[in-house]
Amino acid sequence: MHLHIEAHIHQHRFFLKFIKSEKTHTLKTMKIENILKAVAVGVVAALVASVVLIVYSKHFVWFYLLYGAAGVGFFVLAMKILSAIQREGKQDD
Amino acid sequence: MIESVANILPAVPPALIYLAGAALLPLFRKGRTAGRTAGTTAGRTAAGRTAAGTTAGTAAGGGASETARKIYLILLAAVGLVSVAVLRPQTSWEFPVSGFVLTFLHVDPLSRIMGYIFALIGAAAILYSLPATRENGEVACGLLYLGSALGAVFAGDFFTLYIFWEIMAFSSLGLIWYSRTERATNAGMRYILFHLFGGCALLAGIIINYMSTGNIAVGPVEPGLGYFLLLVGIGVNAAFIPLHTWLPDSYPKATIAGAVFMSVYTTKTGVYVLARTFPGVEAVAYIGGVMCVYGVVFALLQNDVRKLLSYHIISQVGYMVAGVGIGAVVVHGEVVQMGINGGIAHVFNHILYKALLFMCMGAVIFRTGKSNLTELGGLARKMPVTTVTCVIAALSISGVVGFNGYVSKGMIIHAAELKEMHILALALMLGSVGTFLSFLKLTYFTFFRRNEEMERAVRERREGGQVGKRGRERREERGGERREEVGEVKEAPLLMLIPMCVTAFLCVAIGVYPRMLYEILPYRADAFEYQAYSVGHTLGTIELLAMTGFMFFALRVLIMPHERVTYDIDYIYRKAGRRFIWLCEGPVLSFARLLERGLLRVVSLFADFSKNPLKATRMGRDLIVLSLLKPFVFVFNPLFHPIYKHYEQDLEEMKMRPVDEHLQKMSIGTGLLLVLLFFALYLIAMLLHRWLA
Repeated sequence: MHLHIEAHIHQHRFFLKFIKSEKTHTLKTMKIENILKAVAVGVVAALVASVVLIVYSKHFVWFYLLYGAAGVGFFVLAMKILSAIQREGKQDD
Repeated sequence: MIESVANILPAVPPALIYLAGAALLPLFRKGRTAGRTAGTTAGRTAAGRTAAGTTAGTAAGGGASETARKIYLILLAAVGLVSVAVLRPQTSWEFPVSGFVLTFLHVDPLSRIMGYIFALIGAAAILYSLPATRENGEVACGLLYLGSALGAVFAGDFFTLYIFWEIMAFSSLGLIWYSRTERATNAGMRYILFHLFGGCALLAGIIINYMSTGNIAVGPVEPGLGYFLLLVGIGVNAAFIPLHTWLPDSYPKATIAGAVFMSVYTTKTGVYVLARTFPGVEAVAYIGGVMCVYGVVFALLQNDVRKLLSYHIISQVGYMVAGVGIGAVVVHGEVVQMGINGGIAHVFNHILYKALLFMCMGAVIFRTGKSNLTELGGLARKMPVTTVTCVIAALSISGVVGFNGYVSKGMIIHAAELKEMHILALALMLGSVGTFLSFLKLTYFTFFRRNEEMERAVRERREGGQVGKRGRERREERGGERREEVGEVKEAPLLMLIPMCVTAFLCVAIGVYPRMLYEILPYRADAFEYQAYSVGHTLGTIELLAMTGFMFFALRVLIMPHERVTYDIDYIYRKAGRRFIWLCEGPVLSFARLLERGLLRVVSLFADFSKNPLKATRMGRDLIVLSLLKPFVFVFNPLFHPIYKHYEQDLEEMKMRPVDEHLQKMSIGTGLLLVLLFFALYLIAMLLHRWLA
């Protein structure tokens, strides 16, 4: 009887270990899948961007890129300045 | 088909339909009012909301009336839509009142496009409100608000416009107060104070304009005091800086459905009246530029999702105001109304995506009971339809290529460039950058960021039996308040999703096929002068927004939401308000009391005089003589002291006597002499006055 229980526990432990390893394996696969998807999307986006850049190069106005960056900088700076006059607490207190 | 229907049906002011609809609504009682105490806004618990929303129609006897009410509201929305769709350019429903002719239905391309979008979103908001509202009064306020906004849009004269303008202010106040929270009540008071001030300025402007021109038709105004007052009155509704503070203060505190209604009508009616009265005024265009940037800066600081959207209304209205201010431009030697067209096109598009954004955030609050970005996150899988529609609205408001915002925003910026208002064009582009940044923040932190609380809740649920116990413990920790865990959040009800999906579809449809919008713009022929999808413009926009997106993810940590109190100009108003109240309660009240006391003394003096004129005269004489003699007594004591003593004794004696004791009567001659003396003094004063004049 005692042996039977020990065997059962051993079997149970083995089963749990198996499930754990299966789970780790599935998670790893999912991670790799996600990375592959991201790489694929990145490659496609880069290709599209390159084609557009080459075909419409004369229409590109780099001013907009610079203005976008400067704009974000302006808003971040404005936020930092204005947050200096904010105070902790719930809004509309 | 619409043409043939239009020929059959008589033209009825759409406002009447909605106002009548609101009046008849109490006949359709709500099936159940159990959730009333739970509140209606962000503050109320999700559990209470679910109870009210899902079981409203199941109560015995209440189910049938609830269904009837829903059918009635859907029919009302449909009839309202048809009534606007069949309107053709005309001026009717005119009533002569005291020498004025009040016009209730003036339809031209400008008012018609406003009518279309108001009725369309009105129908969507009515549908959305069915599961979200639990009191008939709230829906009635929404209908009154919608009706009065349509009344203002189709008003042919300033007085009719003013009447509907004021109804709008009071009916929208109801949408705030139906939240039934203290914060909402206070915000409502501030809201109505602002609108009463704006209404007074508008009425004064209308009267002064009428006195100088003799014209009450809604149209361009002549410069002068009336011009300025009208601009202030309209500016309150259009949320000009610094008259904007009522907007981010009140909209986040309105009910869930109420905020959808409110996001549409007040500011857009302001822009419409501005387009009628101040087209092509450059100062107005620059006011728009300031609004555009100011609104975005403050939106970025917000943590409450509906407050963030409210600041974006200011920013987006800035584009419309700028468009109206730009007015006409010259293209290939021809005058083209590109500014007005752009402004009105942006009104149309903005109503679509802003109502959609308020619907999406309303759905999020409805299901989670949370309205702060710091508490939200990870809802994309739980609420996929809401997420998709919200992303569409966010892309539309950001002016991403292929969405409706791109078309109208581009039209306004292009008009500014053509009119050589380069600073304005740069400000509007800066607004685009900030808007995209802000909506990346909103969508990311609401739907896509990992929400640890939600993940923990899901994990606990999966663990089985342990969950119930832990869940109960958590509820107990929160003082017995029932709150739905974020992990249990599900998609919004179908009746909320339908208007959201339709509106999202329209955002994309207009973006892909802008001709649909061009056809109904006030200057239809001029609209086709603008090429939305020219390569240069498209690539420029992509460059601008791509860089913004990249910078957002690079500087994400700096843009993280925080639970903080943000000070706006209303800080000054509130301080000034408190000072004013202190002034009223302190110095002014003391002065008033002093004045009152003085007046009472004078009155009692007159009363005493009338009771015994002789005694009073003698006392008065004694007092005068005593005051005249007093300085001399000190210098020439032996000479004046006896006389002084005599009058002093006489005064004491007079004081001791009772008031009603009769003294020796004054002879008639003396009385006459006194009267004559009084008249003589009066004549002298009059002559002196004339002589000096």
